Amino acid sequence: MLPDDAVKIADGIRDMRIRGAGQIARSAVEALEITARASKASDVKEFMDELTDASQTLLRTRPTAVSLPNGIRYVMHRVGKSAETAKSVDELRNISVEAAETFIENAKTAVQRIGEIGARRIIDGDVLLTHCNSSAAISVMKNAWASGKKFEVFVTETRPRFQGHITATTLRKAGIPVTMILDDAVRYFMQEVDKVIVGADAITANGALVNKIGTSMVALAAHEAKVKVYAAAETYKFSPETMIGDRVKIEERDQSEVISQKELEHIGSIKIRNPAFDVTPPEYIDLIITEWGIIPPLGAILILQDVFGVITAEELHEYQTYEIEED
Amino acid sequence: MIHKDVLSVVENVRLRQMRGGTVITHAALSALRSTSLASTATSSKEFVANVEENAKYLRKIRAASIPLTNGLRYVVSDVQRAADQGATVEELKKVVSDSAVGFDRKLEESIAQIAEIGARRLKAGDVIVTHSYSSSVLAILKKANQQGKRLKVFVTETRPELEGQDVARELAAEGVDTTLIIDSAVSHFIEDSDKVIVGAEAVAANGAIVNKIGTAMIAAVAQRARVRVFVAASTYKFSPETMFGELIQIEERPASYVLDDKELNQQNLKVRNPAFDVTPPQDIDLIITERGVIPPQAAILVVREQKGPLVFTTQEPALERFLGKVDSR
Repeated sequence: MLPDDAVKIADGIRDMRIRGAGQIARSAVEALEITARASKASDVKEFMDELTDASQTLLRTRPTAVSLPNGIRYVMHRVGKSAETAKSVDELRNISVEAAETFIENAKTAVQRIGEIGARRIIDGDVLLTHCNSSAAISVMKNAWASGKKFEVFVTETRPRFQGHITATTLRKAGIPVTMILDDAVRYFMQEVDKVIVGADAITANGALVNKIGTSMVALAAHEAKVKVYAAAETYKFSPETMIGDRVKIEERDQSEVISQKELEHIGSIKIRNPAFDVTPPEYIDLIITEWGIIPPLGAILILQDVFGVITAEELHEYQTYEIEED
Repeated sequence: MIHKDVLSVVENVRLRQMRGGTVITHAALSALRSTSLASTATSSKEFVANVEENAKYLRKIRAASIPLTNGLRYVVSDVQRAADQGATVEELKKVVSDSAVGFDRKLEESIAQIAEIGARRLKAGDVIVTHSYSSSVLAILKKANQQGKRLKVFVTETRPELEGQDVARELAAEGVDTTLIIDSAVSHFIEDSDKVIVGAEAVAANGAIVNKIGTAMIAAVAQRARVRVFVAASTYKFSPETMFGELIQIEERPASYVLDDKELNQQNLKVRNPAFDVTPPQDIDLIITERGVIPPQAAILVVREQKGPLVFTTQEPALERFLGKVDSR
């Protein structure tokens, strides 16, 4: 049983009132912290059972977020390791609370830290290109602009849901000159671009980038034109499952995002496929900007080891929400 | 004076009621023909001048469309030659009519021939990706389907005008296994695909093709995945002007295709909306023409055989001579 405040959080994540990868992870970890603080367990084992139950409840709230299981794992990995030697519930409770607070603090500042670090890579006169809507990528651009650098940004509209419109609005309101283009026009304009900056839905153990559909074509067009590709990714976006060979599942979304039912009936008997993400191989990525610093894509494994420690397959699969592709 | 038929074609193309270079060429030549037949010119000199004026005007409706340029060039050169040989206005009217109908027929026949040749390159079970609307590509796919080769076709919706939906409709009507995807999803599905087939608005002398925006990215993705890229293009799409350095003009279409009025006209916000892009020859495996399959590097051989003088672009004596020489062979 979760304490009332933790239940409220779980409901918020489930109902999508709590949104965004960082917010979801922070809230879930906060719920775990609340549970640890409220626990009336009489021994270490009972305490661990309570936290494990709470974890499972939280994991079920949003089956596709990468950040949520990572937040839970961050805490539970540390708590689990200490449980073997902990002498009292209070000792373990303190470890839980400390781990949770560290995670939350880091997650809270991650986007801003990425912005500060990434902004150093931008120079006066740059022409940037971004795809979709990423708070980390926007943070890089806004930080660079705030530091007085002058540049302009091509923003793709980002079919099917046009998140590029949100990005364009955010950037232009910050004073940054924006040119909106079709996703199809990226190769056409790439010769005018100096740097591509995108966010990440997930980073795999080999440094591949899972991001909004279309990202891999943008990266290929950039790579071919010798334009730098930067991925801005908080460390909770890194996917430890991929270290043990699991593949990140590419979610397919509803066809209504692509075409209305009426238009579809007019066309006749066809299928619609609408994958939400694609995979950009590490060789098309120049660097990944994390809140812990800039790494080459092949350094992803270091982040995974630092954040999640040496983690076993059992442990990974125990705290897992998003579906892993069977294959 | 620009005739009303010419104006109405121009207007229709502006309103995007016509898609595909072949359709536009057909409409433009019909307009040139009816305009000329209705001509009240009193001398053959005046008649030729009228035809030239209307042809130049029609060319502007889509400068990137080479069949349009070549078709107009074809008719104008026939008329000029006949006038030089002393034809009367009435005789010249017949020349325009025959020439326009003749080019139209050649263009139409070229599609059937391309379908025949292109279908041979497809195997039963092939998974095809196509982008935008091309009469030639549809003809190939339909032909292969009629031959009993069961194809699976990924059709991109093709932002911003979504002509991919028309392609999907035509394929579905033929019973082809058709899947509509967003343009950005091509790289996701390319691993499952065998061939990319696209049409062309124009083929340049170096074998580069100009086609609907997005084609260049699809070709690049296909090349990386070792998926073959076929371009279906009649020889009438090959551009002689590019041999002498002229760049094929990429028109930009209105910003309103990309953003609605509410979102437009904001500070710090521009829209760029090019209609076409250029796919380099190294990203193309072959070009399927009505005269056979050629590697893109052989485009120059086809360009050599275009007929007629250069009447629509900056005067280039070398090209005039070149085409004149070929013409008299």
